[in-house]
Amino acid sequence: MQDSISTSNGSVTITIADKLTFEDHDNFRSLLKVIESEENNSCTINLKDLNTIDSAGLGMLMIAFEAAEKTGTSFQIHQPDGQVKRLLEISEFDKVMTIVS
Amino acid sequence: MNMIMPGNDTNVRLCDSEPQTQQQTQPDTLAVNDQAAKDTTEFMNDITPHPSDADAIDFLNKWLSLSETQRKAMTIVMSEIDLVSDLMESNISDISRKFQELALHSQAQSDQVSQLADAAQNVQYNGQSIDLSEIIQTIDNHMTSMIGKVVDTSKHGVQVVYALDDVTKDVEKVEALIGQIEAINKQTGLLALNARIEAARAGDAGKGFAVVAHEVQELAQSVNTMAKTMREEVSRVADGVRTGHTQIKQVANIDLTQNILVKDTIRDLMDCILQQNNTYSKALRSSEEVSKDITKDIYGVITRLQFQDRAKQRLENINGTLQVMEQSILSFATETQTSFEAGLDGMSREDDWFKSVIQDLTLGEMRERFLKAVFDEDGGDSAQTSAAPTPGSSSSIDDDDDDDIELF
Repeated sequence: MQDSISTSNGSVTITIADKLTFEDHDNFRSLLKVIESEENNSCTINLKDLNTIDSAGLGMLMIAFEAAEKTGTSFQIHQPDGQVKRLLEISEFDKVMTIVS
Repeated sequence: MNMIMPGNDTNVRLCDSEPQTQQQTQPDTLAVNDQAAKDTTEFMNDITPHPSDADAIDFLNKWLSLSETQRKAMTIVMSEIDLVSDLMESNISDISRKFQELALHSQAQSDQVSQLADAAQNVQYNGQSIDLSEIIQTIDNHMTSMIGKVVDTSKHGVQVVYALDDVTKDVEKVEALIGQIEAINKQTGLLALNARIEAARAGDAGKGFAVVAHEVQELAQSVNTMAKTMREEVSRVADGVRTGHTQIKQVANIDLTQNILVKDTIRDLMDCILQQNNTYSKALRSSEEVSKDITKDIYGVITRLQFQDRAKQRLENINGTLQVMEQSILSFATETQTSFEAGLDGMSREDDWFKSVIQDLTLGEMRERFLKAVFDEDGGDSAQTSAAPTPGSSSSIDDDDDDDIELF
């Protein structure tokens, strides 16, 4: 997993690239801390460069959403593509959170 | 008929050159001759030689023989017409019955195909008929629910891993704290030992202090034993946590994305089944329509077969007409015979023309009936029937012809 974080005016954008699998759970936890931070009121996860995701990765995205929800932060997933997009569709993530193509 | 009647030339000789003689021997004859004949006779007298009495009698005999033959022929024609009528009636009612059966079978087929088409759209499950598209929707719903649980399980798996990560760290902290307790306790023990040494040096004044130092040392040993037990307990907890941590990591690491993506495959397969089913249903419905059309057509044929009634009536009318004709020929022959009491025996057989007529009959069986009726001959006389084979038909294959027709 490669990630980058950018913040501006209380909104944080986390870009996750390459792949998101169980092996990345430790690194992802540090991202969760950013999301849970009281300073942000909106959070965007950009997945345009994410090629691979496994079921643990899907679980982690769900944890991220719940973490944002707990702190009242609005949460969006941006530009999923390919296998990632299909998996999010089949798992009906769009029924739970906002997914922007 | 005149064209093939032998002795046509005798028409001329019919006009008697000696009307007085004929009038004397057969006074009534002229009375029955019609006016036209008389006119012709008078006309002919002027241009032809007068035939003798013998010629006239010969000619009348030919007439009588001809009328006899014609009557017999008419009788057999009438019976043939009856035969054809009966043949038609029995066969057409047979055909009609067969067509009725065919229509019923076709109707049954149509019904069965209809049932099949209905069944193709539905599946029987637990005594209920469920529409196929509904089944596919149900499977889809189950798949979605299952995938939701997979994602949920993965989420909980990662959460448990996170929790156990924390616990592992906490246990490590507890272990470190126990180490600190042990270190402090060690120092306490050393302190108590030093206190006892100092108390011994002080002599009697230090006896009381020595007792206290001894108590402190024992207390330090007790704490030490406790810390040891704690370390053992915490170590067991830590082992359990670490094992659980490893296990849950393994569980969380199982990639279930293929199980999620299988929904697409199942959906595609289901769509294929549905599409194929629709194709079958359409084909069955179209087959049902064709069967209905066939049934309708068959009923149309049955209706059209009722022409037999009309044909029968017409044949009966033809027979009636032939009967009248036969009667008039008979009465004419009788009248001729009574008019010329003597000399007419009707024995001049004019068979050849009749035989040449029936030569054209392709049915040997029918030919035999004609010959038998007219000449009272045995129909097996093939020499007569084949005496003058007609063009395009060979008498040698007559029997084969019969067989061919029977086969039809």
